[in-house]
Amino acid sequence: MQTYLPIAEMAVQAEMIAVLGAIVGVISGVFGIGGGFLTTPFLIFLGIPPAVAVGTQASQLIASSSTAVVGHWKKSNIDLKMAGVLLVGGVIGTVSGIFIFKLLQYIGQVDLVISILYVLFLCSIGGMMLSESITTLLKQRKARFNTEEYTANVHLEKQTRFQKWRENLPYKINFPVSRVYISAIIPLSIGIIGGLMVSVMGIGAGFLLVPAMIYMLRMPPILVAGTSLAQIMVTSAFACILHAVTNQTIDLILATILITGSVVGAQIGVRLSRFIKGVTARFILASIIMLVGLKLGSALLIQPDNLYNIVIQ
Amino acid sequence: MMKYYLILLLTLFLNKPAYAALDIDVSEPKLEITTGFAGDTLTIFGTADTKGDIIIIVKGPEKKTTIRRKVDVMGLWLNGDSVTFKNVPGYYNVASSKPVFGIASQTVRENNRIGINSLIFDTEDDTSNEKVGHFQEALIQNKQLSGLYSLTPNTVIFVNDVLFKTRIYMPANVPIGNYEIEAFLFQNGKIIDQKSRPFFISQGGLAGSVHDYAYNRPFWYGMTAIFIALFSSFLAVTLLRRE
Repeated sequence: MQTYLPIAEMAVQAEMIAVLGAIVGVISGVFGIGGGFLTTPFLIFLGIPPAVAVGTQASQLIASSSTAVVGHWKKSNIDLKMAGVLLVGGVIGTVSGIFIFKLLQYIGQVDLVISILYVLFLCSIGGMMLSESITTLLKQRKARFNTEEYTANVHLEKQTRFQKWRENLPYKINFPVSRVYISAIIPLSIGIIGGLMVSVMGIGAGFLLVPAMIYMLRMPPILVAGTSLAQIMVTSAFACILHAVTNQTIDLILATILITGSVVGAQIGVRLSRFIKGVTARFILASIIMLVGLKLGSALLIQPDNLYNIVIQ
Repeated sequence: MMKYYLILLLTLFLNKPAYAALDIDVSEPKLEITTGFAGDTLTIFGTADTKGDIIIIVKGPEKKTTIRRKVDVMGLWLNGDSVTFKNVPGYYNVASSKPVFGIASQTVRENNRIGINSLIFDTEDDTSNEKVGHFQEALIQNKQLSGLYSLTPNTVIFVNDVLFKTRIYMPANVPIGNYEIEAFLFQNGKIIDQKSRPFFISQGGLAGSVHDYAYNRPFWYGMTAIFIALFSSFLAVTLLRRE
């Protein structure tokens, strides 16, 4: 069914968008991630202006994180004070991200910068996950090596050096729920990075926030998921308002089709997740991430069919 | 201006009949793009009191348009050179009763801005003519590829000696705004009469309301986006919850 998108000012196949939303929903349900990294590039492939793709994605992020936030809230798995500090950073990051986006539009390199950022993030994260899952899979078959001990030692050394540096940072705050006493600068900068990614790339960046919170903030893992999702949800809501007010780049019809597909997909994904084992799941997810990254990367490297692109102001 | 004045004077002097040599109208003066819009056909019809050739031009709103060329920088294809034109019509269709080069000479076409090649795009700053020409050509080619610029000869059909009609296709990506329909009546390569009338394309129905809402109440529009997101995830959880 051809559907006209009033903000993107173009017609799309509604079924295609719904299926895209559903696939992303299934992936997010199975792996417990937002899946924004898949939606934004695909929307751009379909010819939707990058600004509209990123803006609309902000509302989709709210939908995909809110259900999980409610679940974590009920189990009181959210450190509100930490979420608050992260959020201050998130707001700073979002505001500067929208400013950066406008600047890039002005110099005409939005699509390029978004593509490069995606390639870098997807390939590095996909690569790390892929090698980790492959070694784990191999280890399950072969006899155990002593590598584990070795990596653990390297890890420890890095940890202590980082810890010293971290201890010396000023503006320390006590976070009683997470039981950490830490400089506010660290969660603030993590929040800023999160906000930048929401507003420039249209992704929640949970895959970046979660390890950062575990290793840099040393938060108890049980609180990390809920706190990072709460931060993503509120930052996205803030980005949503900002996109709407400054650029008018949120397409409600596109958002509604996408969200409908993804919430249904997510419920299917949650049921499927029981049948997919941890390492296999990580291997599949890493492969998907790598493939999307490589596809985007190849677009940058291969001479395009049409060398020209037109921007109407 | 002088030309019109002379025509008017001549008309009065010769005491011609009250109707004009050429007249046109359009099937619908306003096209509304609704959620289900997937392109539409517009019928333009008119009368010509003398036998001749007809050219009908449908021109979309003029917008500032930038065209960029991708260049190879160390293996990466980046946006390189660009030219910004101030007055690029978003839509341009030339329909005629026979190929335009058989109706009027190049000079006449250029003087009256008939045909894609006689369009003059003004640049924002001083750019070399060679570069401008090159980019203008690429811009027109891209617009043709996306179906927004087209040349449809032999599509103006005479129903009888005076009545003619043509069908103009508007693709799904047609821009919204104020359009102009211009018609020319030619005889032996000379313009006998010309007429123009406005035409509008706007968003209507649900699409129109959403578009207006986004631009008129941006804050509440953002709040609505948040609400839709929260509501649909809430709905999915309650409806699809596992017992």
